[in-house]
Amino acid sequence: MRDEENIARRLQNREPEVWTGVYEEYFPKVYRYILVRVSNRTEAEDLTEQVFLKALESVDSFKWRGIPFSAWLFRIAHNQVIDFWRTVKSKVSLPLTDELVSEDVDPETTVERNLDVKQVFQALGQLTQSQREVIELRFIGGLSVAEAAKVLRKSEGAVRVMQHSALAALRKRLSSGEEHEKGL
Amino acid sequence: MKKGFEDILNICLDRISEKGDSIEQCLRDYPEHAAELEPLLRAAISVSEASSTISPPPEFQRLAKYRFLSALHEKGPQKGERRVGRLLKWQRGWAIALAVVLALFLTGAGTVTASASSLPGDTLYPVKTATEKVQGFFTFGSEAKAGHYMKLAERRLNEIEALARQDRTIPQSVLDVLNEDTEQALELLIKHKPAGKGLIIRLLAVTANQKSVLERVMEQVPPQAKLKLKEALTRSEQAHGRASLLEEIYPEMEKFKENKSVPWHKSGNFFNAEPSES
Repeated sequence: MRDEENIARRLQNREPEVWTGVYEEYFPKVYRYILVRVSNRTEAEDLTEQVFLKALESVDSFKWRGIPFSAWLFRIAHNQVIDFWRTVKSKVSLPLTDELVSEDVDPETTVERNLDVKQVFQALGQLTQSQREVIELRFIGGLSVAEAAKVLRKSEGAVRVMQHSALAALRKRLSSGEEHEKGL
Repeated sequence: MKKGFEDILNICLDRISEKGDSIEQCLRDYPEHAAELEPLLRAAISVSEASSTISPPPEFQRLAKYRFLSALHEKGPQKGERRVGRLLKWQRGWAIALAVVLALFLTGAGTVTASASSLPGDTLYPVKTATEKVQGFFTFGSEAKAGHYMKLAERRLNEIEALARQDRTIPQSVLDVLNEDTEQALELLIKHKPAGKGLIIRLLAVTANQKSVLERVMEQVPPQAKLKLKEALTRSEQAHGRASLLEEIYPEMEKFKENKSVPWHKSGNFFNAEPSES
């Protein structure tokens, strides 16, 4: 914790090497998190840049209360995405499509249990908003339960329960997707 | 206290993601929950693996990083102080420049020539710096001005090296001017879109040379002088880092010059560090 506090203080002093370290570590994670939530590469790029510029802008207001900097950063990302959806006319999420798969990655690339990447994102898109949020923060953003709890402003216990139900719902969607693929 | 299923699930997820444990290792530790745990762990891993295939386009990443570092540099805490300091120095500098012009009328060009080899602390040193200001005034265009600042930075570096060789004190003001002139050159290259690549490479060489000279000088000076040299070295390294990024994004800058599409940034301004309003 003392390390985290020290990092926060050095970020407030705008020490370039600390900011560069934070930027390099979190930029791809924040980008992934945002892209999965907005399903549009151009918007995800703009929003990701804004997250870091806003963090730089408002780091002076960051008060050390035991909240890790990563949670604070993802809170900014979370709010950026909410603002984004507020400003677009349609409040219905775009389907999670090929847009999410990098151009240099074959969409048929298989992940755990030979599911393809597209199948996973499709299943994720069928979850409820709160189920998606917890999965996106934990397994796409790479946050711990404690950090995700700070972003979502819930207790750690509540996040653990949400995580369980979200994974159960995802597993169900993935299984039905697999059966559909096999023509069952 | 007996752990609930949510806790066990979370322990396994953390073990897999943080310690690199396998699903099987975890299931072995919780055999009574294995049947329920396994599909949930596999679902979590599938999301994690699928998301790892997403990565920001490299050209966007490079430009975004450059814009971010520029914004960071702009918001540096010492920025305000540096501006005020620079303004005061600028006013003082011009008063001296005026004196140089008058001196030229009164004493001829000999004094100016003699001042060229002077070092900080010498009687003729103010004449040397004032002459440089007059030369700067008659230098036109961003690229030429950038070249002028690089030349000045090289002179300051030579002076620092000479002072150290003669065991003389290196004034803080000379180190500040070394960094400020280098940063001025960098800013001009950034604003001039795109600057000639030759100038960027020259700036890289200038800053690389600053690093090696300052490191060498640090070994020669007494301990109390090392700190200020270390600070100057850090600023030089930062300028070198920014110049490297500038060189890296040069091909994109060329495209920008040719009005090719730049889909990663809607405003079309590479150097706009301000976040656009959403």
